[in-house]
Amino acid sequence: MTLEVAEGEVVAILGPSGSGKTTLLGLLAGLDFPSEGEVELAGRRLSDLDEDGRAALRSSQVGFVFQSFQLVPTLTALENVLVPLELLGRPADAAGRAGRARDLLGRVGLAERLGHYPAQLSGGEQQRVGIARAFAGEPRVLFADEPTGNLDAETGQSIVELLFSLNRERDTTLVVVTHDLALARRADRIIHLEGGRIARIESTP
Amino acid sequence: MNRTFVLAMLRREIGASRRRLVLYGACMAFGVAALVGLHGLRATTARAIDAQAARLLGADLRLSRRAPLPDEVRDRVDALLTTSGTASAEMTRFGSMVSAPATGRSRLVDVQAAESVHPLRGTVETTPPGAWATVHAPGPPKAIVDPSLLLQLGIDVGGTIVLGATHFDVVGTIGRAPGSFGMQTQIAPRVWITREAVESTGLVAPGSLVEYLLFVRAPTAGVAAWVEANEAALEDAHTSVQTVAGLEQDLERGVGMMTRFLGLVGLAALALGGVGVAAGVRVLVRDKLDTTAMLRCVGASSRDVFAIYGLLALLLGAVAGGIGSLLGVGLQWGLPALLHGLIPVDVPPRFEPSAVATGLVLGLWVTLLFAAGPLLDLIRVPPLRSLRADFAAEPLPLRGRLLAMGALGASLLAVSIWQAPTALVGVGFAVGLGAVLALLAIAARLLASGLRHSLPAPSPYWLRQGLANLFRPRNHTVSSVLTVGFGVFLVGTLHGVRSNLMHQLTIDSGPTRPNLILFDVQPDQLDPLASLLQDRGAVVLDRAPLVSARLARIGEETVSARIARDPEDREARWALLREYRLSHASDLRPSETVAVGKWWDGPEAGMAEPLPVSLEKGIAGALGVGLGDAITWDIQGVAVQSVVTSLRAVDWSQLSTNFVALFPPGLIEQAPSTTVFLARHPDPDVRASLQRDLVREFPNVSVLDASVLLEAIDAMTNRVGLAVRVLALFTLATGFLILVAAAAMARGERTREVVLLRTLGASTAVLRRVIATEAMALGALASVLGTGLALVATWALVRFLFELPFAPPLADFAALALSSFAISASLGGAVGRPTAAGSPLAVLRAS
Repeated sequence: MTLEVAEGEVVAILGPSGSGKTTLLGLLAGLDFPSEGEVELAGRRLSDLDEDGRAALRSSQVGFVFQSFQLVPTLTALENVLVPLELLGRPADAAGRAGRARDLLGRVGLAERLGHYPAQLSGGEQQRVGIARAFAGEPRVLFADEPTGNLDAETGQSIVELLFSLNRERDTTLVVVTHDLALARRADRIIHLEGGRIARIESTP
Repeated sequence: MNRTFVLAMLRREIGASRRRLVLYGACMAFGVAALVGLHGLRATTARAIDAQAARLLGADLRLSRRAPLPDEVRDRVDALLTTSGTASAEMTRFGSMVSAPATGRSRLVDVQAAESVHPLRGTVETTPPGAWATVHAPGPPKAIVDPSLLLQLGIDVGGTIVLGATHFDVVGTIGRAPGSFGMQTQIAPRVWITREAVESTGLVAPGSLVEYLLFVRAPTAGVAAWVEANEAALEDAHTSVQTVAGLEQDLERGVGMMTRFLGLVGLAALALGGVGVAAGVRVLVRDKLDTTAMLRCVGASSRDVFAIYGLLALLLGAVAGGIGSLLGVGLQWGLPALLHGLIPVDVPPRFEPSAVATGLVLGLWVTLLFAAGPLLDLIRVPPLRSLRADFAAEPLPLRGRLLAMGALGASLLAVSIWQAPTALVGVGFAVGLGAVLALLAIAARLLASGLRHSLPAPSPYWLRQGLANLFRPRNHTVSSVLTVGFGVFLVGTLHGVRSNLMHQLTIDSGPTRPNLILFDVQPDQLDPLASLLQDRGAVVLDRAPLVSARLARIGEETVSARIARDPEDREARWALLREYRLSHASDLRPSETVAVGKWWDGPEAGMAEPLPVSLEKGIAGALGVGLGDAITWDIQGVAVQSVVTSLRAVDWSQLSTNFVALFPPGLIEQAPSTTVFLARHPDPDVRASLQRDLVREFPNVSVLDASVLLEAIDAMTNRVGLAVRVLALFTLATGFLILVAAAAMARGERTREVVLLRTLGASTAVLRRVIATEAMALGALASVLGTGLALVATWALVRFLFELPFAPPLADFAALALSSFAISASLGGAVGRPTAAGSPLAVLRAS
């Protein structure tokens, strides 16, 4: 397949289970290697980079939102959001980093729950922490893997709102994998996958 | 590496894993403690020996000889005294019987007849104080004795003892004094008298075993130079030399050997602790797989991840080393009391920084070694696991695994060799340890998988579930069985071997064995002594003449030329210079067999030189001689030529008269000799009265009751055995600690399962029964395997190392298995029991 995502564009990858959505996401984000072909991310050819080079690229350019949240169970909400900032070393001082993490958690509505551990948060709250963490490093590209897959419809809806509004505010490129058609409809383009191939590409009005 | 990130994550991981770090660290603490304690003791003892060696020797230089010192040696000593010496003192020392007329009891003693100026260094402590000076005061002959002798003779200070023809008033008891310490006085208690009194006893006759000693006080440098200048001449005069420095070396070597042997037991505890750490880190790593994948996803490099968890492992090692060192310092203070009588000096408690440093380094090293494998798995976690939970790290390729295991094995081998008394012992220990651990692991695995296929189907749920826990994923069967089983194995084997050795000694005192040994019987006493024994119903089992001799030449080469050829060969030097007790025999004794050559057929009286001689294998090896080699003996001034016609293998463990050099009968009888009798009488009262009469009628004959010897050996092995068992208990404690850690880990991992079961309607009683079944099965497996292996190891050691018949101490082993089962089952059950705390909903939500 050939697929190009422009800067600032929002793309949804849609398809039934086993159609290769997550595999495609893994390839795009440099988490997996293609057996043939090339992936270019934020202007860098991934095959030119070694594992640590790709890690560094992800740390500076990429954010993730996971279906199963993937919060560190032993870290508080605030500490989970701090992880990418500490990896980047930006802002340089600890107080600056904590300030930014606090702001972000405030932005996702968790200002009162900074010191809570993931186990003490509801699913929706955990995913809010996940979104705050994804935007913490000011990534140019955000990959979201079924961000509402583990949530009920109502909570899922509010998470989608949050994700898209933050994305608009920061003008981030967003690639979201989903089988939720309503969510996909909010993207600029929908890539329909079937059996590991692009069945069609649909532009939304 | 991203330092800010690594340090921030590390800080949080420490906060989250505090309790685990302490628990896993504690697993190693006992092993570290044992080694720190023993290293500390070694260092403190070495220091104490340095400070007290002169006091132990009683002088700066001691010369000793089996005959009065020749004028040539005396002249040389005089030269030292005129240049730098300040004083000298002489002593005559011999074994003899002493009796107490008041009670009629008698006892073999170590008579030390010395001048009043002895000891030249240090003092002899007596009760009452100053009793040694009283011995030298004018008036009737007086003596000071070991307190144990008074007990054995049933008299008090102020009583009378008889030595040979002379009565001595006991004016005091000996406390600390130069020359002998602790256990040495157990077989023959000391009796100190004046040198003038020796002659009146009439005990020193030709052929009797007497040692003549000369003590010198002189500056250290003067002594060293004098010894170096006169070494050869002293050797030629068969005079042994001991200096303070030499004694220090000997004592430190002795204490070093003892602490190193004990250290091997500590090393076993350390290795077990390592197994516990590996099991703990493996669980920790399993919990961190998702976190690691996510961190990799958001841009952490594998180096960052390795740094975080590598530092965490370092910290774990530091905790282990720290707790262990603290315990070790405590142990170091307790060990001298435990080893009382085995250490020749007073060991004041002292903080040894080097020992603590050793503990910390060992804790760190062993932790990293055992944690490395699981940590490698962690850095290999693919970031893709964040998207798909079923994405696992590829297993380490075979080469990598072999490399990791090789590093582990090599390191254990290195620590073992470093710790062991000799490299060979170190290798043997490491291989043995590895083999036993491997056997336990394989057996545990086989049993668990056997259980999987033979679970009784129509049994209650809790039984099936409890047993199934032994082989289900994330079980702790191997690590628990390995550690507890090894502890049981070690304690069992140590106990089994000791009880077999003691059993053998008791057999040696059985109905056909001698229990009276009579030394120094003069030729004219042979017949009257034999008839006295016969009159009292004692059976004479063996009598053997002893002829003192030394080696003069091997082939054409003189002894000194032979030593000069290889002065560094200590064993050959000892064999060449020692005094030999030759004997003659027409038949082989039951304790010996001819290994090479031919035994003579009968008396060969009138045979011309060279005379046939049969040597013991070991001494022939040390001397470097074989069949057909010529040996010239110096039998009290007469040169006698001989040729080696056979080499014998001798079982020295039997209480019997055994000799390294034997001649056929009828050839060396003319030489001055004394005779040893081995006799037996079953009744201890008859033996006591026999000894009393023997002392009266044959005052020069020394009698040793075998039961005294047995008691001494028992006391000695008890001391050493106690120390070994205390350290073995450290190993067992490590095993139980790891069991507790494993049970705690299992409980943490099974919280969700317990909640699910409870949600589905399982009662607390059923859940408890599941855990209890598992704990009991684990305890039974560990105890039975450990005891079974101990039985096999005891059999192998007793049969092949000690070459003794094996008597399984079945009752003791059963008790060991039962108690270890009870402890491990109740520990495992208590720690692993499901908690009622927390609502199922909260747990289900959290997961």
